[in-house]
Amino acid sequence: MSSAATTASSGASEGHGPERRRPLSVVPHRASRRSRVSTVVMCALALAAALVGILVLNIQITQGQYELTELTGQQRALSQENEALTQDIEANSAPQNLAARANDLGMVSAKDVGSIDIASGAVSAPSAVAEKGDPQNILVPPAKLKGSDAAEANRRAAEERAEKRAKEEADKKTAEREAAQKADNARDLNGGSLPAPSQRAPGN
Amino acid sequence: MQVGIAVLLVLLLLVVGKLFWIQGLDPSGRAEAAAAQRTLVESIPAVRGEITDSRGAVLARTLQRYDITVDQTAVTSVDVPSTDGSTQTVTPTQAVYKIADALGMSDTDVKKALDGDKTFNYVARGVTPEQYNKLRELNLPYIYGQPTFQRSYPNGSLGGSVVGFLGGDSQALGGIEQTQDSALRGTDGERRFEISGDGVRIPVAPQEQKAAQNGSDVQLSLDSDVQFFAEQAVRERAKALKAEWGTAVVMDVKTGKVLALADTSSVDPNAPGEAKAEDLGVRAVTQSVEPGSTEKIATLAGALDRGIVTPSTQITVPSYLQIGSEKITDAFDHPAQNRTVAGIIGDSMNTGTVIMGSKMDKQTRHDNLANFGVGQATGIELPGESTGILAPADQWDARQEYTVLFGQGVSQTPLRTASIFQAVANKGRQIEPRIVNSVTAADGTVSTPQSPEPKQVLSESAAQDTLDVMENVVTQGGAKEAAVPGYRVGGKTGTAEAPSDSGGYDGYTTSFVGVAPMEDPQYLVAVTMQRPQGDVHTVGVTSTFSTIMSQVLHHYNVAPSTTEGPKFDMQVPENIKRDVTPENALEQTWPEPSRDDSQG
Repeated sequence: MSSAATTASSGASEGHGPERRRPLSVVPHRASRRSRVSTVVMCALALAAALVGILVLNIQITQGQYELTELTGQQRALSQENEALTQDIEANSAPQNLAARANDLGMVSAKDVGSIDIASGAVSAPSAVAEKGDPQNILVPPAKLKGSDAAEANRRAAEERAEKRAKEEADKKTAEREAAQKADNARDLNGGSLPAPSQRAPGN
Repeated sequence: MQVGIAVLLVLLLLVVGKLFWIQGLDPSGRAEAAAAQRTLVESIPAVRGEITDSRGAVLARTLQRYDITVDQTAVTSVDVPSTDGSTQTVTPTQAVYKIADALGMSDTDVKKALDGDKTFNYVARGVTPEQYNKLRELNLPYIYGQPTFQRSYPNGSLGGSVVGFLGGDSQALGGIEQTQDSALRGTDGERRFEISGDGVRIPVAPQEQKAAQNGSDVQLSLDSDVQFFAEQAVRERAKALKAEWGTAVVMDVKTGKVLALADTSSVDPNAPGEAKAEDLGVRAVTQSVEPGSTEKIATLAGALDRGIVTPSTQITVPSYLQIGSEKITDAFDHPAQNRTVAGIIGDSMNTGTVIMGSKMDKQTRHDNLANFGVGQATGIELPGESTGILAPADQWDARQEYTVLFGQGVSQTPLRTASIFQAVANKGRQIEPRIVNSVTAADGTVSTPQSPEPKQVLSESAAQDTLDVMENVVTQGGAKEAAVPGYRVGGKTGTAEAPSDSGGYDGYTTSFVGVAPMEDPQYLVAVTMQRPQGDVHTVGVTSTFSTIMSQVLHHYNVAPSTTEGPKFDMQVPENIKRDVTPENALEQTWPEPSRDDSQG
């Protein structure tokens, strides 16, 4: 670039001496080549872009709204499920239901709880081995909770236990009656149907 | 060309003018009407607080439920969209079956609910969210679901009357639900927002929300496990004795906090409508009974406190007392005996107690009982507390002035009886029983109700002497069945005649109140049985006390006793005063106890 400039200046000095610089004049504005059509197209495009933008925004908001509704619904469903499960847990952990199930498993209450004096290392109270016994008759009924399957199951189990117990008692009574009958039959009634009157021993 | 522009401008002006008319001036209130149509006001119901036991186990909880309603006038065949996109016609009969299936109801009940011309009718109340969702999938346009709350009581009738219950309109009607209602209830809130035509909330529209103030949680001192042991034990005993009712009170001696209030039958708060009227309250609080011999402890404590006797003071007790026309006898036949005070209480002798107690004048006898709170409510946070009856001394008749010394002619609740023993076991400091431990507001702030001021009703030494005599009742006296292996236990039996509704007496009230471990009493158990059937000598509740107390001591990991209790002579036959007769027995005197004696 610098070499080109040098060449030009040297050429001028060698030639016809200093020449008068032509006055500058405003170049007339060239007639615009852009047509009306392109302007309209541009506007239309801008409008379309804006519209599409708004549309997308709108769709997104709506979408978001639907998503929100759906998630809220999901949250509600989950919290309701959680609530139902909590209710089941609480129904199962009610003391009377726990005790009844422990009974079903053949568990009995501890007899004497042993204890050790840590300071002296001595057994301060001996423990006793639990003894197998008849299942305890749980007298506290299960809760009449509504809408919990676990509570329902506990109620049914309690009813079954009560039925079983009633049947056992009835069987026992029948057996006793039969035994008494047998003893009666074994007694010598001397051919009659009533036992002879017995006399009270004096002094009793 | 210019004409066209002018026309357009005019049209534009018209449009703008109309727009201004509608938007700017709005003379017909369209905007307001539109806003009103879009705006939905929803009440945000406050969630009722939980009731928990001392270990945090929930005793009452609020659950989301739905009330299902129907617009009966709109019940017709409808085309409903099914899940695969097609539509399906559902006739009212089909709808009945579908609703019945979804709700687990009988077809006839659903049909009854749908038939008619009411625009609003309940189909089912308090259905679970699961059932409601099934119902919603049916897309029946005339069926509506309204969110509501339901109280759930996982323990049911276990401690049911303590926890209390709500009526059909969520009105608190019993127990803690009633007394703590203002804390549990909370304040409803409100939400305003705008919805579009299809029911979706308009996200950019303004919305106002006043949050609901959820109710506070109430924690009780009640322990569900102890409550169960106690209830199971009293129910077993009441069943065996065919008693009318029975109660057990378990109390923390040091704080007066109630750990269990057991009843032989109580309301299941999940279904209060099915309960009998007499099962709605806590009997240990609402029922006043004649305490019987347990009151001898108050008499003894009063006499010890006033320096009248010591546990080893000897008194000659004739086989009965004749005071004017009144004859006072014991529950067992005996000749004249020389008994110690410990021996008199040990075998629960009315005669000896009267000789000892009558050294206090009439007014003092009254004041002694009043000092222990007899005739006054404890103020426990449960409804319907009975104050019992302690008549003024000047209204006592000739017999009553002596019978009050052994718990007849006076009535009090089993809780009050327990409270007397609490004072004795807590070095003479009575703390009125309470059952609410704390209240936790929705924002997490915990407030503890102010506990009642301890009241020194008895000197510490008199309290200790009384305890010694109570221990003697179990070790040498008439309540050996009350013993708990491994622990030192003390207490007192009680048998009183139960006043009949038709006048006179029918049946008995038997009781046992005791504390353990005696070296430092921590727990108190009071068992009362009303009208047990059978011989008076076999209807006691000492073994029931032992069952409950042993469970309580194990449950709270109380170290077994390592010391021995004091031993008193029950009788000293050689010192019998021969000149004491049934008529003059009250006049006998004994050496006033020296200060050292009363300390012992």
